Amino acid sequence: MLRYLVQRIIQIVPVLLGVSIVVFAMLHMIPGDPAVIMAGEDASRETIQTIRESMGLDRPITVQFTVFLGRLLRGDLGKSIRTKLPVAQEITERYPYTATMAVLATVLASAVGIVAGVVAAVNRSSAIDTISMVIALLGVSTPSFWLGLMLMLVFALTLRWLPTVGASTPLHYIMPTLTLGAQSAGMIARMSRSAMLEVIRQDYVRTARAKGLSERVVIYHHALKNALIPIVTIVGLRFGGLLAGTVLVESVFNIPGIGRAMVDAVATRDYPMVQGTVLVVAASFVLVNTVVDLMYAFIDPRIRFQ
Amino acid sequence: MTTRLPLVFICLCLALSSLTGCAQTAQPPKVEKPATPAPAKVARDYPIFSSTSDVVTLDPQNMTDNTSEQVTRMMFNNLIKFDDKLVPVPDLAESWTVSSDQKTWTFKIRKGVKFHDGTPLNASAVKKSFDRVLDAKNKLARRQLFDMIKEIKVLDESTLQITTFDPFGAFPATLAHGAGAIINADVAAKLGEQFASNPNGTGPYKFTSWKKDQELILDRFDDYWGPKGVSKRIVYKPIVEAASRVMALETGEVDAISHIPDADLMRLEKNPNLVVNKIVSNSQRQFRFHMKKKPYDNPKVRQAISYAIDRQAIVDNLFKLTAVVSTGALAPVTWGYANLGVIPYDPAKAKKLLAEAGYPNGFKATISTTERYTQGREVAEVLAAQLKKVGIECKIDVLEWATIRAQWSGLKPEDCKLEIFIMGAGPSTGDADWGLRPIFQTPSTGTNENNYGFYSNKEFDKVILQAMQTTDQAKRKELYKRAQQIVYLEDPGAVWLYDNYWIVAHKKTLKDVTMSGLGLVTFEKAYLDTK
Repeated sequence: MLRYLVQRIIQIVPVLLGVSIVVFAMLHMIPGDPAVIMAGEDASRETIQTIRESMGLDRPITVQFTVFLGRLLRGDLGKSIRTKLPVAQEITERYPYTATMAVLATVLASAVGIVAGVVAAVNRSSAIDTISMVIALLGVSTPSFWLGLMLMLVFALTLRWLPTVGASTPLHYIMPTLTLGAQSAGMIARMSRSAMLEVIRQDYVRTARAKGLSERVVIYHHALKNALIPIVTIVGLRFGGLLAGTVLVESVFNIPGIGRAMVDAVATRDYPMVQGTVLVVAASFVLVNTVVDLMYAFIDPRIRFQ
Repeated sequence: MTTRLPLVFICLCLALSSLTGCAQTAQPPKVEKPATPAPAKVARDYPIFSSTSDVVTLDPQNMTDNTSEQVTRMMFNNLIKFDDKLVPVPDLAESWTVSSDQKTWTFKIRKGVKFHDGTPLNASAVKKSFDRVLDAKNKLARRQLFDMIKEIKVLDESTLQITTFDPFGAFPATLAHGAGAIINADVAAKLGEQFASNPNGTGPYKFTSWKKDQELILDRFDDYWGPKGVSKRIVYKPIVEAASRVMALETGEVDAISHIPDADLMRLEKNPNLVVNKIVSNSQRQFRFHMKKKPYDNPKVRQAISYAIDRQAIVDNLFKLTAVVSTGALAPVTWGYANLGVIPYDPAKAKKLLAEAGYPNGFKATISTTERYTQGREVAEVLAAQLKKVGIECKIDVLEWATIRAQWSGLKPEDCKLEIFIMGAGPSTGDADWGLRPIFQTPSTGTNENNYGFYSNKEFDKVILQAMQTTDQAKRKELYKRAQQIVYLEDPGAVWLYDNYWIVAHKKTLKDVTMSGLGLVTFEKAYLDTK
């Protein structure tokens, strides 16, 4: 088990290296010069050159990448071209917002999704099954952008129960969490349902019932536990995805998170910022997946002893 | 099944309620910020203004975007500033004279002015401020705006003399530009790059704090030499998403917003608690040409394209509430504007001109546009449809801002891939010189960092240079009229479509918001009438 753990952790390094190379290469292949964007619309060649030099953008690409790697190993992610602040600082200021939303949304989505999926599976082909799966489908197919704006329209503008934008009080997190959670909840519900259906048909469930155990114990203790592997996988994937993909919700609710920072950085060709944010997001994703892998070992003893 | 149902529902409810409890007790990340009041319910006595992007820098000598300029305007004074009609009037300079050779300007500096840190302002402080922006080592973005300055001399504590290399008629307007703000150079030298987030000036408001992408707070400077700000505090809050920004105004969380989508404007205009302020700005939307590519090198072709466009239809259908058809190569609010009239929609004339130019059956063209300009895609589509009627078959290229921007960043004519391309322009000095010269003067380097379309007209160059070098404002106006005739009618440098309104919507209770034609909204006189 320890060897498994160590192996998985070591695998993180080449993945991250690969990610940085790909991001760096792609950024420099697309048209658009950050110095030109920063200089504004009535700028002269001289202004642009000044800005370029002060950012170190006039050095050859290989030099820029080597500098980047060197700094990275020392924990220095460089300075944002736009704000001139250290990228590491920008990221540490923004990451908690995204992480909080991602965690809250995943917890909400898992609770609602798993329960809905289990109920649907247990009451298969009944009204409750159909209704919950339709709602799940709606959740999956509704664009988060639209849902966010609709929630804002109803709860903030019409009812005045909640604030519109920002992230300064716990109340501000309610609508973004609901918006982000909706899609995840839908997916988790559907996955839970199919996983449960698989498991309920198994012989050991019939045996458990035959033993005289209460239905609740059969479903939640025996069946659900065995269905957990695919469910945990999807929860992990969704969580990882949320860490990166919150940009739409962050834009609608004006939350200064990392998703928006990443997209803005691409639009302004803020190379250090793009590299920094993508790296952090990739690292988070890899970490979450590693944790999920480790959880498999925890849930299913058979994996532990492989 | 029926016996388990209530149990399942109880579980669901418990799960949901525990989660709402979770959401309410979840600690948001601890970040230092000044207390912001809860929305709507608490009576706030200072205005919050919201626009679409955050301030980039608070260093006036390094800023190139409108949002930064709006905020910094309230913290700094210039030697000369613009009044409501964009006429240069005294600010820190009580008066000024220009020598007979029109190259030396002498300014009388106002007494009793203090910087935000208490240091008194004098002529040598003003000199130090200009020295900072002119010093190439500082690599400030706005250095080039002042490169007509040859020498600055301090004659005495309150007299400053600036000599330019050549006579420059637009000098007062240049000094009134946001980048001409007089900064506390000693503080700037001490703080280095941090000055951009910790500025120090002489204006009615001083900097308090800035949480990037969240809020920027200014407090009233009680030792201000002029009329003190009415509100104790002004807060700027960027809200990126337009729909959210509009809703934040409607719920009362912010007091004023700009960059309002057309679809929401009508609703806001009908709202009895809100006021929608419109002012014609200096910003014009146009489509320019790559002058060195056939067939755009032929003025008749460009004139034909101009006649083929029904500008009123574009405004009526796309920008009914937000723009007005252009009547010249500059907007009326820009100093030096000449009313040359709307170019009539005349497809028959267009076809005739095309035939004369040798294209009786039209030709194929590419229109490049970007959605960074409001409805940039839709405008291009209308253009294509209208040009088709005179035989010009257009392909539309919708490009991302950074991509299209790259096409006019100092390229040689053969490297620039654009043919007809969208552009929005408005001189930030409010003066015809800046609105015409960098854009249409033949570039000495042959590359297009300012003259995106490689426009070149000998008479235009001559006229523009003359106008720049005379300080006789009446004579300048005549010369600029001639220049506009050339570039608007005779040898079109672009097809001008419409002049944008600058629109700000705010609560009725927010009074005395200042709006200038340069697209600046400032709040140094504004206050919330909480009665």
